[in-house]
Amino acid sequence: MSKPDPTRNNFILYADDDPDDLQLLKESFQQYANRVDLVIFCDGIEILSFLQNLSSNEQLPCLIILDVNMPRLDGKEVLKKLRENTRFDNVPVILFTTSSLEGDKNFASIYNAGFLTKPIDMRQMEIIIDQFIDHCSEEIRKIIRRELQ
Amino acid sequence: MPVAFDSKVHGICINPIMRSKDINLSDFRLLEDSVQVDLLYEKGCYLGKRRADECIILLYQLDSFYAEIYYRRYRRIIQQILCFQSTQFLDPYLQQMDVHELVDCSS
Repeated sequence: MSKPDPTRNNFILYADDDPDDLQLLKESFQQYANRVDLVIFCDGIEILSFLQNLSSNEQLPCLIILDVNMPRLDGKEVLKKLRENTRFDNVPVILFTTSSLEGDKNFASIYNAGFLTKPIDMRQMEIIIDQFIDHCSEEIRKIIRRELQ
Repeated sequence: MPVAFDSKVHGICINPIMRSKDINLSDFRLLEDSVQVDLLYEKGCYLGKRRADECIILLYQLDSFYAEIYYRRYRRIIQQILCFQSTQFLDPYLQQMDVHELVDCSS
């Protein structure tokens, strides 16, 4: 896991057990590196323990991206546990997966999360990065995109 | 409230008839590369991943056939898409599966 930079307010958490997908998103968020940090985790236990250990005066992530299929604790279980904790009620969460199963989409919807299928090419990747940012609050969206305007 | 991904709004445009119909291998091969990719994205079922000669390959199933996507740059730049119907080409993916828990259920 890479630690968030405490001098910055905004960070996105991403959990995925596939190192290629972790690298893909790290590179894709590089263009926003001056505005938001991407903090990565290798499974559901890691990300959940990070979130549970955030003290009450610490900033919450502006977005949480969860792969569905992960060892130890999968993305859907993490999502359920997050939604059981009122502190994370307003934190946007996205299930990001190779699956396009209706059941997974419905699950995301029930737990107030977004659902995005992993891209196949660069064109789709660019659309998906935009979609990630669209899930953040309006204030965060403006901050993240400010530099590109 | 999270926004659901809508391909019609965000530029992945597939003919609605094509989206709703099954497609066969020979028709798929006639499509433009970008249309093939969008169809696999919208309708394909991801089955697995493997590496060969520094190349990452993803396997999808679409209706009655399979498509292997060979990457020059993972999930960004596609080198080629190979399509087939024979299950013999699935061996490299099947070999990666750990079936111990399924087989060893007697203990």
